Amino acid sequence: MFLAPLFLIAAVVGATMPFFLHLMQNRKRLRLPFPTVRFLRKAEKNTSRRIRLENIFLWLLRTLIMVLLGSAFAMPMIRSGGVGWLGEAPRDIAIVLDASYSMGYQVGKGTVWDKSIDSAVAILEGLRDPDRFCIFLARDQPEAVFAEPVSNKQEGIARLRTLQPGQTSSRVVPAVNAAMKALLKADPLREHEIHIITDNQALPWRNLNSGGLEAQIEAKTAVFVSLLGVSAPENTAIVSLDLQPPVVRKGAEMRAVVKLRHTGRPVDTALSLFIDDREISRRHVNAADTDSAEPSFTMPLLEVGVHAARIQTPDDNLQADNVFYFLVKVQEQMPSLIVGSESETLFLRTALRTGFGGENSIEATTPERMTEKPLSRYASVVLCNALPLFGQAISAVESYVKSGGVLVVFPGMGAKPEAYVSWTCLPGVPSRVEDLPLSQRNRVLTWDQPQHALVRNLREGIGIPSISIRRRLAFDTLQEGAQRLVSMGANQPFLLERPFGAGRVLLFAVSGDSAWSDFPLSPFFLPLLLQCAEYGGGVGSKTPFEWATDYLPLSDRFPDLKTPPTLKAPDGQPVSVRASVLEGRTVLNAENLLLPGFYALTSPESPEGKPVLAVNILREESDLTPTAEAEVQKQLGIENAAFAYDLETLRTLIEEHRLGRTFGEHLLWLALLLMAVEFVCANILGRSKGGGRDLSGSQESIGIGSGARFLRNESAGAEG
Amino acid sequence: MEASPQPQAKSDANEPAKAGIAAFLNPAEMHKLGRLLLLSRNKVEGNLAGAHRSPLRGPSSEFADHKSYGIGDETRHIDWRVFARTDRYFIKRYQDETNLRVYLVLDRSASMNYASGDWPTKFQFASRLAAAVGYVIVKARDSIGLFLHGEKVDVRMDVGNSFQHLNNLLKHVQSHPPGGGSDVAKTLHEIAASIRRGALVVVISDLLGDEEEIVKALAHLRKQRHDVILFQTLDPAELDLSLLKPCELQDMETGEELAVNPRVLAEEYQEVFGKFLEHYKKACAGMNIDYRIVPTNQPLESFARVYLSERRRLSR
Repeated sequence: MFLAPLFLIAAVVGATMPFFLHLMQNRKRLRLPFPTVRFLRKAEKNTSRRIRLENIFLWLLRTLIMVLLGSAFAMPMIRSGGVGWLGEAPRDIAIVLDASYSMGYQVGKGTVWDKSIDSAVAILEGLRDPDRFCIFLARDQPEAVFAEPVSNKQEGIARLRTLQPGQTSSRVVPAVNAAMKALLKADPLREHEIHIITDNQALPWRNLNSGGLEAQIEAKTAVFVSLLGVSAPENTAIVSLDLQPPVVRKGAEMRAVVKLRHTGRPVDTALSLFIDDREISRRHVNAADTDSAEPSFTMPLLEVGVHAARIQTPDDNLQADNVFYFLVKVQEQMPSLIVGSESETLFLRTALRTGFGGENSIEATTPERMTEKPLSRYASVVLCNALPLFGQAISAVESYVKSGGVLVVFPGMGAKPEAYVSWTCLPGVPSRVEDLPLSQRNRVLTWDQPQHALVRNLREGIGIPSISIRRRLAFDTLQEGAQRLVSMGANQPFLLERPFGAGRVLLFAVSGDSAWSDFPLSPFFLPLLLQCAEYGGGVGSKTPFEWATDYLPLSDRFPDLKTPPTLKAPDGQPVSVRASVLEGRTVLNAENLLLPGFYALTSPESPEGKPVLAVNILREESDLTPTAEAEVQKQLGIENAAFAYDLETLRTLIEEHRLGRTFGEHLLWLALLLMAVEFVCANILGRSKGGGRDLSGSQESIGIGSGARFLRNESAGAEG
Repeated sequence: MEASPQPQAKSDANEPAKAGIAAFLNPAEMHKLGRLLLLSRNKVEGNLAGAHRSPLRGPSSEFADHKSYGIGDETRHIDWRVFARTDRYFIKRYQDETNLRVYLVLDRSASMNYASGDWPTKFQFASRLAAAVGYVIVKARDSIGLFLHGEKVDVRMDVGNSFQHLNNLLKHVQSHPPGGGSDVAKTLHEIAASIRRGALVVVISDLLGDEEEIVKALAHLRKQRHDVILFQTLDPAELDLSLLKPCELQDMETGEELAVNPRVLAEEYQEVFGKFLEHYKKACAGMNIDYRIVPTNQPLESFARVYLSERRRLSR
């Protein structure tokens, strides 16, 4: 296909020009008398074959140059793909729009999403009447806007204008899979185009769990990738928050430690803590520490109840992740149940009463009567020489742990190692009770997991803990998942922990009284025990925030709920809560918790409700590290994707693909190259090394060229 | 390369026609040439006393050899010093000196009428060269003669040592413009047979004939004990085919035509023509003939001066 086919005539005429010039040159040849024709004839005889070949070569070269020049001006077009060399075939296109919240990145007056919509609209507007389109949104799971190709462009444009980016991250490859299926299912004979519109972010292209493309993109399917984000994005976001402890007693100290993620060049930033909509404090983070620092806030003393809190970063180009919501739960008491005889639990009762400041915080019972107590009321249950327990008691305790309670076990002389075998929740089954000789009794306690929530606050201010141990439980092996928190000496466990269900089991190697050791008399008995009790309060509670999700089980978080509650989203809209019966239990699930903020349970008495959930958008998407074209092509499994970084380039690429691309410029370059070759060849073959004279009359200087070699040699010889 | 001379042939139309030596040499050139001398490298047999060595013994100041005294020898020539040493009579003999007889052999074939660009034709240049040589010869009181030939000897002039004779000789040259074919070999054979006694034969031609035959003819001259100088006058375009445009060339003697592209053929032509010239060079070197290629684009006066100086040096 040629844009200016008339120039093809010029190409044909040009191709004949060297031949006609050759004929004209022969006809108009000058006739001159010359004395040494016989030598010329001899020379011609020697070179005629070579000269003929050279002349043919030059003639072909010149003809080719003329053809190339004519063809170049005729502007030949070549299609980048597709089957319609002679014309355009109807095509089906699929638009895959990245709908992650990073598309809300501010670029100039608009966002990347606005540019994406403009690009998608431009693509639709560029379609002809027989062309069809389908549109898919790339979110965590692909979402079809038009699942099958349709031809109503106006409807498509109207739908595009109403779309908004989501509050989740996105994965492009599954959406491309869906687009390919839609195109192939509709009409495999049509030309296909896939338009992927996203920002520059690398995250959507990481095949975390998507498994890559289900099938190879067909060679005839053109893929256009619009990377409309900025090349060096900047963003600071809080990616996680840790409350220490997760639940606090009234009057106790609490800290909130946040973790930041920064993309782009380092910048200073500031964090503001708001509780119940009041700014409490502010932290400044240096640019150099933005990625590594974990700034913390000391929470003020709060009233009993649940408090809505948030930490904000300053406004930046991506505002969706500037606020991190969480709930602070303050309890009046952390009730503990101490099981054991009065004499053996003396130290424990005294310590907990002292620590929590009253009798209400603890209850004591005997092993025989333990089953009479509703264990779920207690933050922690402490068994002090309470083993062996049997049957229903063990089952009740293990159920308690599984549902989120903390069980603290102190051994005693009442139980032999065999008494521990029937327990499934313990970190380890002791192999023996070992009496230590006098020389080995003094032991230094070492923290094996210094960052564990139980001991990290304990290490400060107690010096080097040293106790005298007379007897201990010895363990040969530990259960799966168990870990040693504190050791006495080298590799001998002092305190073991094992997660079991939603709860934890803590097993001490010494008894809770002074029979086995002087641990109860040591200065760190009280803080360690209090930490166990506090830990019990936090383990059972859920995290102070939730990630935005389509589906959240409420029964685990609110076991008291029996009927679907009225859950209000941050925008005041009710949240759909579905109830289903599973194994005789009513299970409640909230749906579409995608809007970040506080969700409140309302009741007729309290129409405003109280916050029960703090939902944050997933912070994976806050990592705006740009991707590279090679990575995109690798994920798509193709090498000829067309990349555009703005709408104009995209339009040009689409035009080049659909109409074709002229390679007239390439032909001109080729002709120029051949001209240079022709010039060099013509001069080399023409032997124009020496000077020459026009015999028609004009006077030129005569150089001693190679033709006068003999004369030169002869003169040199004579002089010699 | 020296500056190109003004072609002598293109004279002002308003000037009166010159004849004789004045048509070929201007006074300045004659003044410069008057100081030069053309010596023969061989002994020559002249008929007058002169400055050139003769094979005969005669009165001169240059000692030749001794000869045993014989009856009839003059006693005044006895070398008494030798007698004193050997007690025998020896006659002291001296080198005889005679004048030089020079024959100019000038080619007037059609090919000599070629000139490229604004250069003089080969014949014009050869005529001027002949005039220069003749002037030098006569100035030295030697004798000069002429053979003007094409296919045959057209003009023959015996030697004479006067300027009048030189003028007459050059008038003959003027009155016989180039034309017709050439047979250089045959002509040289004729000349070799016609010149008696050792003389200096100066051949001025483009030698575009059968080179083998011409070499044989030159050998004939040498066999006759003539000293031979061979000036091959060639146009620069003949040497390197320095023509620009493709053209159709017609041989000036045979009329043969050939369409050529000089740029394409130049290198091969130079190769072929170089072999042709090389043949003459080797043959002349073997026969002790003084061979010079004289391109027509070089100044005559300087060429003559350089050549005669060199010749004089080699003749001693």
